Amino acid sequence: MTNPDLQLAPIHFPVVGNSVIVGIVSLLHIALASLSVGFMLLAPIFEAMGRTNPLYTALARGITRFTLIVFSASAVLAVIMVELFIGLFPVTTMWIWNQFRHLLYLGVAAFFLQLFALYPYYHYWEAIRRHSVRLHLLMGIMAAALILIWVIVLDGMGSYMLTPTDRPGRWPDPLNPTWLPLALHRLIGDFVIAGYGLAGYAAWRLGRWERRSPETPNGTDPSAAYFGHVLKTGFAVGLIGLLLQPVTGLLYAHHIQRAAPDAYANLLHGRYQILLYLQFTLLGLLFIGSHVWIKTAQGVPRLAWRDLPLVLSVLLMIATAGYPILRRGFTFLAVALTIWQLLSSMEATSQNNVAFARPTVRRLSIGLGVVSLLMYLAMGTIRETARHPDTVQGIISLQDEVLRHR
Amino acid sequence: MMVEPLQIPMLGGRIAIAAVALTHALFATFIVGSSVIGAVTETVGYATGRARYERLSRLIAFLLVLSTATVSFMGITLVFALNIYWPHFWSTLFRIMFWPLLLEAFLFLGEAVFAYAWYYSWEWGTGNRKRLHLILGWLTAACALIAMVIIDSVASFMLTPTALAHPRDRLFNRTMMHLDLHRIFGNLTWAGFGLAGLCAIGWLRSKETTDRLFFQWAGSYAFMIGFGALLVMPIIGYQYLLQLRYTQPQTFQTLMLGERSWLFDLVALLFGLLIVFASGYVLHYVRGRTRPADAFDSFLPFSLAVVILAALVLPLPYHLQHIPGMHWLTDREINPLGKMQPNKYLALAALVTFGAANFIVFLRSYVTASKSQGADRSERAAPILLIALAVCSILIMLGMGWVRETARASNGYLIYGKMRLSDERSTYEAPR
Repeated sequence: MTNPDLQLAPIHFPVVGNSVIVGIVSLLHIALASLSVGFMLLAPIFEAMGRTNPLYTALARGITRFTLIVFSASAVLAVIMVELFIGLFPVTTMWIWNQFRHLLYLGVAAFFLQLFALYPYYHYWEAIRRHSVRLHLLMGIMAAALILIWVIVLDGMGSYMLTPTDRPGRWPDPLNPTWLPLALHRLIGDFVIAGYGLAGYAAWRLGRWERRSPETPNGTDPSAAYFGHVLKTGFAVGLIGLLLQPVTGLLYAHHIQRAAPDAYANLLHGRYQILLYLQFTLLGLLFIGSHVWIKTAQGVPRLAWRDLPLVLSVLLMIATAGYPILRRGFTFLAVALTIWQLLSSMEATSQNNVAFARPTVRRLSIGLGVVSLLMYLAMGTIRETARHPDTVQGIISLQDEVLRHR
Repeated sequence: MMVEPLQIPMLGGRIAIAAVALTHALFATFIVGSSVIGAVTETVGYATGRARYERLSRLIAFLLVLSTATVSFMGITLVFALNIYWPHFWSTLFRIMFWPLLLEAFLFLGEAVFAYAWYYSWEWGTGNRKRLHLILGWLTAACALIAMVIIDSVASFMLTPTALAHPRDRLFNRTMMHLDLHRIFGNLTWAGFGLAGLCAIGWLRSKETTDRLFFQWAGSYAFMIGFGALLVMPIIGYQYLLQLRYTQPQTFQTLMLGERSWLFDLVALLFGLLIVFASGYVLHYVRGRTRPADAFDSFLPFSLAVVILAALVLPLPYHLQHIPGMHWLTDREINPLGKMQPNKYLALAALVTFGAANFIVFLRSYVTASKSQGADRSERAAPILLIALAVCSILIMLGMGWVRETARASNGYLIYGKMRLSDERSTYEAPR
């Protein structure tokens, strides 16, 4: 038992309160971490594609550089987040880490090994590639696989807090009903944010380049060609992720509904219902923004009557956010309409220059990058609020954190 | 809510925490020392316009980037390990030191952001941009240094805790300033010798004369910082121990004459070795650069002999049976040569005095050599001595950390006089 000399009253974080400060720091960490994970997964894919087009190799190196630059900041934000957990929610933190200790050993080992793959992958890029391109690629794949293990372990903890199981033993705890659906949903989400984020960055760089050298025609300058390529590639990655997300989202929602009906109901009709509408509004903006992006890139900037079905399906999706069956119908209709538009415009957008990157496309790309980030953060917040006032659904509540000190 | 007992011996948890904490501390202390050295070096390079300072500071910035990544990972691992193996202790300490620890984490975030910005914006150019770049280096150093001061407050609180009435008292406990000073100079010693060791490896591996000359100079520059800081350490360490003697006499007794005195002798051995290797390097350095024969040519071998003798006396144990396994070799309890008064005091005084004299001779030669480009020297002894210094400085950093922690743990405390190791028993075993 703790010595009475060492006992203090529970800490209350001033102004914003305990939950909000944990939320803010967590979201800051997640914003950087999700981008980094997305980039780490994409880097070896781009490097492999670089065998036929060197621009992909340059892109792989660029996104790895970003990953390294934000790596420590993201890791320290994770430390701050964990410190806030320990200080403000000690009962939950103590308990959940105890439950997950065996998987954490695995996760920490994977994370540690990942450092040995990632840092030489970037810092000795040319040296290793001169020796063997395959070896270099293998290092990138290893870094991606190892970070994926770490992410999946953390997803195990996150999902367990919403849908805990009571199976005894060392390993079954993470195998809760929403673990794999969450891991999958997160993975695709990482691609969405990485893709649109990349496109947004490239658009910003192209805009800057155009302001500085207006006399050079688009496409003849190597850096303009590179950023044009990045813009198009990033948008394609983000859009493919966006089209897959409703499927993984449906899977995840279905498992939450089955395993934690109370939390699911709370999510749809509880005090944080507004977040659900916010999320679908952001999703709708991504659909419409992507639609306009494709049209503008093709040189057809104005909306026409045939765009109405997509706009209507998106509006109805937002309006029926609280009614899952209807909402899902409209969401998949939006997906189908976007796929149809994409297939019919594939040839027009595959031109190998940067003429498509008109100011509207660039502005849209930046906007899509911001919206995808906001949607990622909104989704994380929704999951956390679904179990309110419990910190671990049905096991530990916010009240337990206060009672411990009485 | 009860946590599930780990069902492992507590020793397992203690070893895990010690391994992670010592590794984390090793990199963190290197960051503190090298960020200060890096910022100073770049500033000197900017002021003098000498390219080698620029090159060295860039190398330091690169090492900082790598160390920061490692220490971030180790920081997460340490927090995980503390929460898994000592959850009650950790949540209690965290509650007591919540705000300082949070501030420390934000400062570390600042260090990471500035260090990365410092390294990745090296090509920024000249003029105001270069001045801004210098500021990034200094901000890195400032964040690292202040974070260290805060974390030392937490560590010193565990050894000399105060009443919790006012947060200020928790921060400024009796040994806080002593530990901070000891750490600042310790970090400069470790970072200086560590960088010198890395430059020595570069020196041995260089194929180009330009590179070899650079690493020879950089090694001696980093050595100068490490050796200078090392010579201050015994004075601060003495004051630290004196404070401990009056504040926590049981701890002092454990370390100086008790069952863990052998650990302190081990630290003394490493300190002696550092002075011996450093003096050996000075001898090589001065002889290789000062021609014709210098007045110090005869002093340095004599000084080295005195230092070796003192380094042999300083670590001699007094209570022989406190050394693990010693009963296999002898039944004797006391070694009279290992008495503190006068033997060890004299040995320590000789090490510091002659070490300082050697340092002055080195400085004189370094200043002269710095004015010229220097001659390419293909000898192997000097770089090997620098590598030996780096290895010994790693060992002494680990040893000193172990000494401070064991001073509490060997008396059964996690927070001295307030929280015992046995308070954590429920984490390991189910209640009977």
